Amino acid sequence: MNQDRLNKVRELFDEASNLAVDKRESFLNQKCKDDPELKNEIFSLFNSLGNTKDFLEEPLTIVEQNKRDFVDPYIGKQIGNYIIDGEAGVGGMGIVYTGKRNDKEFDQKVAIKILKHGITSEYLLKRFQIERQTLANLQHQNIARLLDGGRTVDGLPYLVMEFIDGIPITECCNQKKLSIEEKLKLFREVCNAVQYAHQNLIIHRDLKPGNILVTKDGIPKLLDFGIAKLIDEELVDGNEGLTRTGVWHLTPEYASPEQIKGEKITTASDVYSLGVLLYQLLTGNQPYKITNSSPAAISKIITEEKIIKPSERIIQSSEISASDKIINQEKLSAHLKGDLDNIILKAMHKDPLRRYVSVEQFSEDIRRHLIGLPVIAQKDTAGYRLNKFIKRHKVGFVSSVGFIVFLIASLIAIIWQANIAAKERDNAKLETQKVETVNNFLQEMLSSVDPTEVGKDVKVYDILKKASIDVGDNFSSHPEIEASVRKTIGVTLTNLGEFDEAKPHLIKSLELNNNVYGKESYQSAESMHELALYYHWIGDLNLADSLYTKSIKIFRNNSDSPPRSLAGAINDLGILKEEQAKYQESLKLLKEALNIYQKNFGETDRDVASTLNNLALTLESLNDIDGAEKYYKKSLEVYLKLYSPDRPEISTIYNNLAYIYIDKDSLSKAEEYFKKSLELKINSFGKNHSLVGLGFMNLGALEYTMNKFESSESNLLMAAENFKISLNENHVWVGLTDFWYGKILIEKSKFTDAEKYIKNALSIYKKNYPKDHPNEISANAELGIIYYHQKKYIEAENLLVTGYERIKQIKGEKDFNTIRILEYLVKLFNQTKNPQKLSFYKNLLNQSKN
Amino acid sequence: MHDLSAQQITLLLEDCINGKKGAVDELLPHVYNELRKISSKYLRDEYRNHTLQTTELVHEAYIKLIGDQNISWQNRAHFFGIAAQSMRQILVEHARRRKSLKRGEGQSNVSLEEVFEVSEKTDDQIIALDEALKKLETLEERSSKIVELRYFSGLTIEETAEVLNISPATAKRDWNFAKAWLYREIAAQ
Repeated sequence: MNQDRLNKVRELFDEASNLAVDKRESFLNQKCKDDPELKNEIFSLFNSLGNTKDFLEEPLTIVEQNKRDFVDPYIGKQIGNYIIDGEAGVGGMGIVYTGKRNDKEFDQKVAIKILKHGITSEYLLKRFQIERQTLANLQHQNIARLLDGGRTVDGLPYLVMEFIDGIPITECCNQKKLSIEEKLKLFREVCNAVQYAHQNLIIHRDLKPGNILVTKDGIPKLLDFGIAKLIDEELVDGNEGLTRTGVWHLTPEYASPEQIKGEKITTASDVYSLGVLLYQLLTGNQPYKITNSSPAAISKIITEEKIIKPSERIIQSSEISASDKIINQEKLSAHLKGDLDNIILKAMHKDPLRRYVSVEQFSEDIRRHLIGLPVIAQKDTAGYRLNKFIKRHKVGFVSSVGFIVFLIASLIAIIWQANIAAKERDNAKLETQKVETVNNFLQEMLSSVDPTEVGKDVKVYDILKKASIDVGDNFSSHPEIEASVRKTIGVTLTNLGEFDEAKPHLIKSLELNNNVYGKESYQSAESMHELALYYHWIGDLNLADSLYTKSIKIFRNNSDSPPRSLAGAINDLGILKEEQAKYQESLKLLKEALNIYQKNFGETDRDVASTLNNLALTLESLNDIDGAEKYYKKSLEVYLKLYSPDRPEISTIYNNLAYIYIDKDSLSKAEEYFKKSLELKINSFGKNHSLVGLGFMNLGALEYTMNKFESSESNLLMAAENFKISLNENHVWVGLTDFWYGKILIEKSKFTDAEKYIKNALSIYKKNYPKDHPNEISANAELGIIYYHQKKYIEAENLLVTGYERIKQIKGEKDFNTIRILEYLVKLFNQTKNPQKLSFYKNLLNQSKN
Repeated sequence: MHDLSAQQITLLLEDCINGKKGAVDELLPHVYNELRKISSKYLRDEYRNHTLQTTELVHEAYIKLIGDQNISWQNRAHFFGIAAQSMRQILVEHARRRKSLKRGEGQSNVSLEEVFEVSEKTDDQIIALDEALKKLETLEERSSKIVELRYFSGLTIEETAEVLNISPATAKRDWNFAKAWLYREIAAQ
């Protein structure tokens, strides 16, 4: 057949294929009128096609065999109530067949696993049956059910399981191109199933992608729960030696060090394997490359080799990829850095006691990461949480107390106070009883988490969780102790970002102190101060203001008020006043706080350092740039005496010094400092912390003024994303981000969107600032600019004229903001053809520019 | 031929996808060698006989050569595409070798363990398909390639289309035609 002929055949064959079978003949008759041979040729192809049915439909399957003509003896046979109809695969522990129930009532497809080792003793058979029963009781939507089991006629144990039609979780993530968030959510479903099994005292022992299938509907299903253990016992029985228990049919990549070493396997072993799985899901790589399969080599790698951080692993593997991939991988790496690195490394800790105590806790930590809360897994937990005490923005550090030390110390103080009281009072017996109550509570809390079992980091968090529940029951007859304990819990929860949980404790603490010591006591003032901090933290500045003010008044009226409490409240109110643009008041308050600290605690004190920083901020707001710089540097000096230079306080000072450089017009230097500070913040807080969002916002705002609109826009978007999860929607920073983003949109001539953002900023400002706050004035002026572009000249004129007057007052006539508005006024009166006003503002503009 | 690292293999694969001249020829021997190693490994498995799809063999070669890293399904499909030719070669070689063994029964001392068989298909059928495919290759190369990809490497229509850079609809048409043509050709023999 020549090529032309073939082409003709193909063409007609394809066309006829598209037709219904009964139309083909007439079609071909017509097309091949003069060429019956062509018609026959095509007909013969259709005939042939009709016969192909299964021809070539299944990819070639090969069988290797060591006995010729071997037919699998199980295929077609009945086992229990099931008929085996095919082979599904071969695993380390035996062969898996597919089958159906023998009776027609249930048409359920099942997987039947026939284990390759026989059970040789009655004892093991008994054990096998008991275990099987336990496994059969696992009923969870994410666990493939064990339906039945028994022994074949030739003595091999078999298990019948729900047949799962799915693909390994790793493949699923690749195919669907899941995002990190989606992967984490899917992974948490897997955790739920494992946690459920653990609650039923069943350890999986062989968690790996091949045992975690995802169905078409996206539901993960875990296979082979606890099966590994059934096999183990046979292996032991099969003279393979105890030391090798459980390893050699496992996939070593997912086996924990204790499994490799043949040590006791616990739920922590599953935590480890899940850690490996998460590592693989997020990086696309296994943590170790196991190439040499000798037992000694595997054992050495898993038990000794240091795990490469997931974020670093991604960078390493990017070397081979195209350049755009590198960018993605860098983004991915940045996402993994911090929380996710720490979470995975904690789950994969070589010491099982240092891993998460439970799969639930592991999963919870992922949840916390997803919603932007601090996670349990931290390299330096105390430092990390302490950072939470540093207050916002260009705002310095609220007087604060060390985290763990605070918790323990305040409880000890309660005991101590009770002891003193016991000596003083007649009813010594009652006081002794109080001390005992506190002691018991403390002991119970501290022992509720075994310190050898988890790191001290986990302990505090768990203690708090437990304490929150127990506190009401334990102290009902000792309200003064309950007040103290609740205050401690509330403050700590606030600092952990658990605002909803913190609030009721703080309020209850205030109530109790009011009842016990009286409303005018310094104890009540302390509770009030903490409540004020809570409102300050969540952004309700008005309520915070009145509570600070009230508490300070009470402190002053009590001669026995602790000086740090008084100075702390004064300092915090000082910060608040700065945020409200009441700079003189702020300055006065902060100087007083500094004085109290210095007098009582000397120069080298953490609160002295933080108050110096706060003072610098207020001076800066008052345009005393040199003064501000001086105080920042003093503060830095004290910090460096107190702490190592990598402390996050240093990042805040960098941030604040960047503002100084802005004021001094060294913008590139400022940008550099912002970036430095941001980097440190991401390192110490993780990317979802609101301070990181603030870092992005500051950088974006600066870049806007440097006309770097592209990077400004992307940094502002990062800030907005962060704030969505880290702050409530009415927080000032959200407003500020909207304001800057609105300005970017003006640059891009997207005026309708810009208007939306600026108006949102204004409505947030209204809720947080007193009237005529500089930020509100600026936003109104921007709105005027938008109206000008939208040709709403009357509205524009109003806003621009008012804006000009006020901004000139605040910033001076030569400030670029002032000039920008003037330029718009000139444009406006040019458009509206108002020669009088035009020449008036033209003159002003010329003056300003000279 | 020296062994290449996973990175080098990946780069070569990317070159193949980008149509760089000579890249396929350079990559092919590595894929072939790996597939050979893997298929002979299954012969040594002592205790059970074992069925597996050629897809699994190719997948194993893929893991060995490229590793278990995130790589797009397109890249994976191309790898499978390149492997299909080797897979066909190996399987047909085996079928021929086995046929000659049968013929020489009683004379040859070649251990039966060294043989592997194509399931439920006689060696003759495999060889006949190979011959028919060779003919189709001269008439419609793309159609024969599609059969190779689908039957010997287990690719789906979509993956086949990606490898050959045609639309899935075209791949489907070619596949239909090839099946009809091959069936007729083999039946006529």
